[in-house]
Amino acid sequence: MTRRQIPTTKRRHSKRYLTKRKPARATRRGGMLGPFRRWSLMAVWVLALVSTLCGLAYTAYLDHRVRDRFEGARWELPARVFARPLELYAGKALSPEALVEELKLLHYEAAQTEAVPGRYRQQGDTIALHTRGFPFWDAIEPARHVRIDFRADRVTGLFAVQSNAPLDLVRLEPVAIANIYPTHLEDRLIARLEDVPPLLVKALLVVEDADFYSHRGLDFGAVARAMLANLKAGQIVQGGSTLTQQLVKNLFLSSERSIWRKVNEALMAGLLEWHYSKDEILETYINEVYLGQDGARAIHGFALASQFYFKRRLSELEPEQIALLVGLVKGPSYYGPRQNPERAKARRDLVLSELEEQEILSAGAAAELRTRPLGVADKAPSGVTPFPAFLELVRHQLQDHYPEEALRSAGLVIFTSLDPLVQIEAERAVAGQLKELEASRGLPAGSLQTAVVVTAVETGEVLALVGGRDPRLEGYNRALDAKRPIGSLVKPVIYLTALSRPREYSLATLLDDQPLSIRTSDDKTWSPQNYDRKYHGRVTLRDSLVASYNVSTARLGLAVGIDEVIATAQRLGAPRDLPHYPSLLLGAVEMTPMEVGQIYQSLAASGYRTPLIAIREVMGPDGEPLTRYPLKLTQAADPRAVYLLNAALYEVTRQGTARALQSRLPAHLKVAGKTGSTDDLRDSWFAGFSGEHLAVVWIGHDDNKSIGLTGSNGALLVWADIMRDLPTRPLNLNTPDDMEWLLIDTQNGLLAADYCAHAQWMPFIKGTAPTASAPCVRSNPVQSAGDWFRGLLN
Amino acid sequence: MPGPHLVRGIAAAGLFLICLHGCVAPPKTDTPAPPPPPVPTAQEQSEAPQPSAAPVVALIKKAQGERREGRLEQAAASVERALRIDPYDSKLWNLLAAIRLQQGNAAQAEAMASKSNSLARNDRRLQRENWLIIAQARRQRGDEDGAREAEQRARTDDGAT
Repeated sequence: MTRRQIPTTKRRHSKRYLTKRKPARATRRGGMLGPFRRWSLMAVWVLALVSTLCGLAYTAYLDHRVRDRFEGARWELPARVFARPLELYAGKALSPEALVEELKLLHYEAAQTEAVPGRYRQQGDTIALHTRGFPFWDAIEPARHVRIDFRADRVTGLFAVQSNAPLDLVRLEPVAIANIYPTHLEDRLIARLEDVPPLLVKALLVVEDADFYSHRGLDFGAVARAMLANLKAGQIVQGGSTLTQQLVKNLFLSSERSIWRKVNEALMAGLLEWHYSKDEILETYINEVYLGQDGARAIHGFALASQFYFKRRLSELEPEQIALLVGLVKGPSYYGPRQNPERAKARRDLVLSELEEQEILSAGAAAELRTRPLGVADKAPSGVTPFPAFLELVRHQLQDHYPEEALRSAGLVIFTSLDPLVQIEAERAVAGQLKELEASRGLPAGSLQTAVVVTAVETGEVLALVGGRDPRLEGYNRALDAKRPIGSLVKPVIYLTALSRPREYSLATLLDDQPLSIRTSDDKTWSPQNYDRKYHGRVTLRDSLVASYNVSTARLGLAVGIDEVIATAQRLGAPRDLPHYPSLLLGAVEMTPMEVGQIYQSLAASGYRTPLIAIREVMGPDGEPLTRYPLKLTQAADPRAVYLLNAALYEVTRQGTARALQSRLPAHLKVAGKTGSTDDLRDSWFAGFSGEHLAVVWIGHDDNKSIGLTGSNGALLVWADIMRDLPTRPLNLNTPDDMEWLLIDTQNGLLAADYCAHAQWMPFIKGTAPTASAPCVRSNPVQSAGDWFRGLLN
Repeated sequence: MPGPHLVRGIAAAGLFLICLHGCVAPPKTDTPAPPPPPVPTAQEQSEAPQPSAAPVVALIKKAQGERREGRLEQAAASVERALRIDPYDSKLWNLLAAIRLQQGNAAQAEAMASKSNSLARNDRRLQRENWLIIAQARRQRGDEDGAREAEQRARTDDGAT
C-alpha cells in the first residue's frame, strides 16, 4: 500500500481521541426500576435534553463562526505595492541593457526559447520575451509574446512574434517593490482555483486526501487506514485528517491536541462541507496552507510559496517544482529546500513516485523528473522593501484615504510611480560620487549624507527617492524629513517675482551689486556678502542670477518685497511657514528636498504646478478600483515670466555657477538648474531639470557641521551623474507667444549689436524690451542710419 | 508732404544702407554672441502641428471609447497614461480638459485647456477648442465676463494665453 510510504502532515490522531468515544456508548444503559432509578432516569433524560440543546446551541455557534469567517474577507492580507509598469513602444528611449535590468527585477529567466511567460531571449539588438500579463487598474493586460528591436538605445520596433504584426503599446507587469504586512506577519498571495495548475491539485489530493471529492469532511476509511498503518509501524506515521479538517484546524483552532479540539474540528469540518462547495474549500486550503518562513514572515499559500522558492508564478511551475511544494505541506521547515536540500529532494521524489503510481505521470516522465535539480532560487525574494524611502512617501500619501489598519490587512494593491531604473541610477550616482568626494576632499569615509528626489517634469510623479547614503536602510528619510537651509536655491523665486512684473523688470534690468546694509526689525544690521567677497557694480538681472550674486539679489528681493517673494514661493508650492526676514532672500529658510522639488517642479512645468505624487491608483484585493490619484494642475505663475527665468537658469548651466555641467553631460543634453550653498558650506544643493526629469540633490552632515562643499562641487556632481545616465530628453522651453529675442549690452542693459563687446541674446515679453540702443551701437553711423530708416518704415 | 513714391524710395535706400552696413560691419569681438534663440524649444524645431505618436494615438482611441461609454475617470486615466509617454502633446491636455469639463471639474478643465494652449502654438483649431472649454468652465463657475472674454478669444485671438 503506497499510502504507508507517504507520511503526511495530517493531524496525528491522539489516542485520547480514538479511545474516548467509548464512554458515550456506556451511558446508554438505563431504564431500570425503583423510585431512585426512575428519578435517575428522569435526570438522565433531562440531562440528555439539556445537553442536546446545548449541543445544538454550540453547533449553531460554530456554524456562525465558520460562516462568518468564510463570508467576509477570509484573511488579513498585506498591501502589495508596485512600481510603475514599463511601457514598451516604438520610439521609446530605452537601451536593451535597461530592459534586461527591468526583466531581472521581474524575475524573468534568460532562456533559449521564450515561448512561455516569464522568459526572454536576447540576440544582439533584439529581445524576444513572453510577458505574464497583469490585471491593472484600467484593464487586464494580456500575456504576450513579443519581439523588440533596438537601435542606439531606443526601441525601433515592437512586434507580436506569432503574427509579426507591429504593436502600438505593450505594458510589462509592474515590479513588486514592497508589502505592508499585517501585524501577525502572515504573508499570502491569493490564487483562484482556475489559475492553479491541475497537476498541483491532483498531487495535493493524492498525497493529502485522495477521497476529498467524495467524503463529507471526515474520512473514516482514512482514519481506519491510518490507525492500521500506525499500529503496524508501532508509531504514528499517518494521520487521517481530510483537507477540510486541516483547513478547519488552521483557520479556527489552536494546535493543542485535545479531545475537545478534535470534536470541534469534526463538527466544523462537517459544517464547512455543508455550507460550501468542494472547490471553495480546496481553493481556501490552497491559499491558507503554511509553506515556509522568512525570518518573522510566515509564507502562506501555494502562490506565494511559488514566488518564495522559485520566483515564478504558479502557472509557470515545472512538474517537479509542483511536487516539491506539495511535499512541503507535511513540514515546511523539516523539508525546507533551502535548509535541507537532501530531505527536500527525497520528499519531492516520493511525491513524484506517488504521482507515477497513480498514473498521473508516466513512468518515464517521473523518472526523468526525479533526476532534475530542485531548481530553488538561491535567495528568497525579500519581504523587506529595497526602497524604504520611497515606500515611506507612499504611506505618507496614502494616509489621507487609508488608515494604517487598512494598509496592513485589506489586501490593497497599490500602483506607484516609482521607476526602478531611475531609482537604481540615482542610487548608483549617490554611492559613486559620495565615495569620490570623500576621497578627494580628505573627508572621513562614510561621513557625508545625502538625499535625492527625481520626478517627471510635466506630471509631477516621483520616480525615485533616496533618503540617505545607504538606500536600503530604513530610518531617517532625509528626502522627506531633513529641513535644511536652501541657500541660493531660493533665488529663482525672487527673480520670478520680479519678472512677473514685466513693466518694471526684464532680464536686461540693471541691478546694483554694491555694498548693502539694512537695519532689521530686531535692530540688527544685515549686510549680505557675495560668495567671492567682491562687489560687481551694475549687473543685468540675468547675470546676477547666472553668477548667483547675493548683494544684488538681496536688493532685488527688498525692492519687490519679501512678502511678495513669499507669496510667489507659496504659489509655486513652498510650505506655509516661511520666515519674513530679509535673510530669507539669501536662502536662510529651511526646506526638505521634497519641498524644494515641488517649487522647481512648477518652474520646470512652465509655471503649472502639479503636486508631487507617488501613487497612481489603489485597487481592492479582487481587482476593484478604489482610489485614483489624478493629475492636477494649477497655474502658479505667468508662463512668460517662467520662460524668462528658465532661459536664465539654462544660462546658469552654460556660463554660470553650474557650468561644470558642460563637461559632464553630453552636448545635446540641455538642462537648466541652480546651485545652492549655505553658510560655512554646511549644505550643498543642486536643483535642475531637463525636458523630462527634475532632480533635487542635497549633500550635508546630519549634525549640521561644515562639509566644505558648495553646490557646484558637491551636489551638482551627483545630479550630473543621474542625468547623464537617464534616458531623458533635453530641456524644452516651450516658447509662449509674444516673446522676442534681442541683443543686449550687459554693461548698460540697452539694445546692442552683435559686434558690441558685451552683447548677449536675451528673451523679452514683447513690448518690455529696452528701446534705446547702447553707446556701442550709436557709435556706428551706418547702423544709426539703418535705425533711422527702420523707424521711418514702422 | 512727401508722396508714397518718395517714402518707398527712401525705404529702399535705407534697406540698401542696412545691407551695406552688414557688409562693412566691424570685425566681431572676442566674445561672440550665440545665435538666437540659444534656448532649445519645441516649436522652433517644427512649425506645423505634429501628429501624435502611435502609442499616443492608440491611447487617445481608448480614452475616446471610454468617454463614449460614460466611463470618464477611466478615460482620464488613459489620457494620463498617454501624457506619461508624451507630455508635450497638446491634444492630450485638450482631451483631458474636455473630460474634466464633462465631469464638472471646471478648475481642472480650465487649467488643462490653458496648458494645452501653451503647447499648441501652431494649432489654431485646437486653440479655439481650448478657449471654448475655458469659456464653458468659467461659465460653470459663474464667471460670465470671463466666459465671454474666452469666447471672444476663441473667435479672434491667435490663441496666446
